[in-house]
Amino acid sequence: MTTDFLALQAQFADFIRDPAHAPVPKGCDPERMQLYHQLFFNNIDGILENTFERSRAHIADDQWQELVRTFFSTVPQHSPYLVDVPARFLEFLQEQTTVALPEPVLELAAFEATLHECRMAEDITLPEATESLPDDVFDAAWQPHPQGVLFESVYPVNQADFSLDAVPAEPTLLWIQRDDAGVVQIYYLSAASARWLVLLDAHSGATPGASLAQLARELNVAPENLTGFARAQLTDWIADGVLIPASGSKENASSA
Amino acid sequence: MNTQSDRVSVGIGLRRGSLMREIEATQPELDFLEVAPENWMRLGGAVKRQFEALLSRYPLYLHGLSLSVGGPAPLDRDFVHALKKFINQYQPVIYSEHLSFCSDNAHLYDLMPIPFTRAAVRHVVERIHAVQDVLGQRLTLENVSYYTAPDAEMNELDFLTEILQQADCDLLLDVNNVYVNSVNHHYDPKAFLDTLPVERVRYLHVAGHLQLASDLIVDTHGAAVADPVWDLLAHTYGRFGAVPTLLERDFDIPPLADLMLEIKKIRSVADDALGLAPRNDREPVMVANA
Repeated sequence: MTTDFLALQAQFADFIRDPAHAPVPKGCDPERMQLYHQLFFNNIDGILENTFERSRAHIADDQWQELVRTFFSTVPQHSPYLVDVPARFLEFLQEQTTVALPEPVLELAAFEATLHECRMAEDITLPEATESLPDDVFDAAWQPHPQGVLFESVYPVNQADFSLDAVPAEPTLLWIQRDDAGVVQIYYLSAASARWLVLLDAHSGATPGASLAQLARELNVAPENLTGFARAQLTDWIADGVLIPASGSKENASSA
Repeated sequence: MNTQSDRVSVGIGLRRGSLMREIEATQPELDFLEVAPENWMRLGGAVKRQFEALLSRYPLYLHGLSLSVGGPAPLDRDFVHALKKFINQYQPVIYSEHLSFCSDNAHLYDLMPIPFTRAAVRHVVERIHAVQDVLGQRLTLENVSYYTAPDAEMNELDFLTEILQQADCDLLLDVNNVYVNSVNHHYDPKAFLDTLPVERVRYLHVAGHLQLASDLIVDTHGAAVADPVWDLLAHTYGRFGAVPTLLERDFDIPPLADLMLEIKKIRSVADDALGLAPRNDREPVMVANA
């Protein structure tokens, strides 16, 4: 009598995931089931090797194989979109304890996953500015582009030849965003610039004066001492699309 | 008498990267482009604009990957509704999928053969009806390649034809898969083709494969179409007529010029099989609007 087809399907998928521990499905050829396993595994390994190309280079072959096999056999993928797998793999890398990965490799993997996410991001509807923009950038309200990512790492992960052994004195702060041509751009930020971006986001809807005043308080400097830095930074960010006109600016513009 | 309109429509799969750039730059004489909706549904930015620009030139065919129409878990209705939205937005000529399962309680992102049992037929038919109800259109399902299959009550051909009939859906006939399966499972591919219901064959695929042993071929889509498949394709046109045909190439993708030589060969094989006069290479190929 034929086994229940649902049980056969479960056996088939179980074997593909973990042929070392799952029985060969009833009626199937063992060697050809191994072929299935290898084809499916290679498919997942391929997208991970491509996405994490640089961090992969810092992981020994046997350790990489163990990581991907463990991920493939134990982490259920609930998204119908293959491009979502790298994000799940990054979570797995950060949580797993089977293979001890150096911290800079984990941070590099997070950086590569962020690049992947930015490259693949869906379009979103940007908020519409409610008034025409004034001549002075300080007279309009701005917000960080919602698809940009503020990325912080102890290591200069965006540099191809960064050393895994040396911990730099300063962290690396980056703004990562896909541009209009589809290229993922990476902008360096100083600690003050990064903090101001966070404050601009928190004060979204207000002109930049409010967030700049808070930044000045945090830095313990007079706001007017930051004006030159702020004007240059705003101009660059607006030109690069890092900042976009905030929605609701008309109602909130007086807070500057 | 056969006329120009009897000629076969031929397309290739659109993939991001160098192939897409070559298609954009050269606007080759293709009758349609096929994409996997899962790879394009959440598009954004420049590539989305480029995709939409190509659709003003080429009709679109969709060939899905993740529906898992034979899967044991409940249908992913959110995904089916997302598909519907994408279909409504881009109005493809055909939306096709695979007669297989690619997930149990989680996705495996590749195709597994559904056990050839009567209970599985009923299960798949019910799911096809559910998908067709949401999409508001008939599904076109592909006969998939497989390397080994679990315990069965029926053969592949009976399983396939039962589902087509009971679900009242159409067939994407993958000619390479017929050949691959005929070698892997020892049957006559032409007899297989000759038994399929003509009226349900709506779309064809041809592709290259990798022969690992005299009785084992892997359906790689990573090589040029093999000679026995060209022969089988001619037989297919003889039986089913000028069915739209896709050249599948997913790995080791050569320059577009090489793919266009295979496209030209598909047209030539079809014209020969259909008794049409050879084409004048300088004759412009009309491209219908999507």
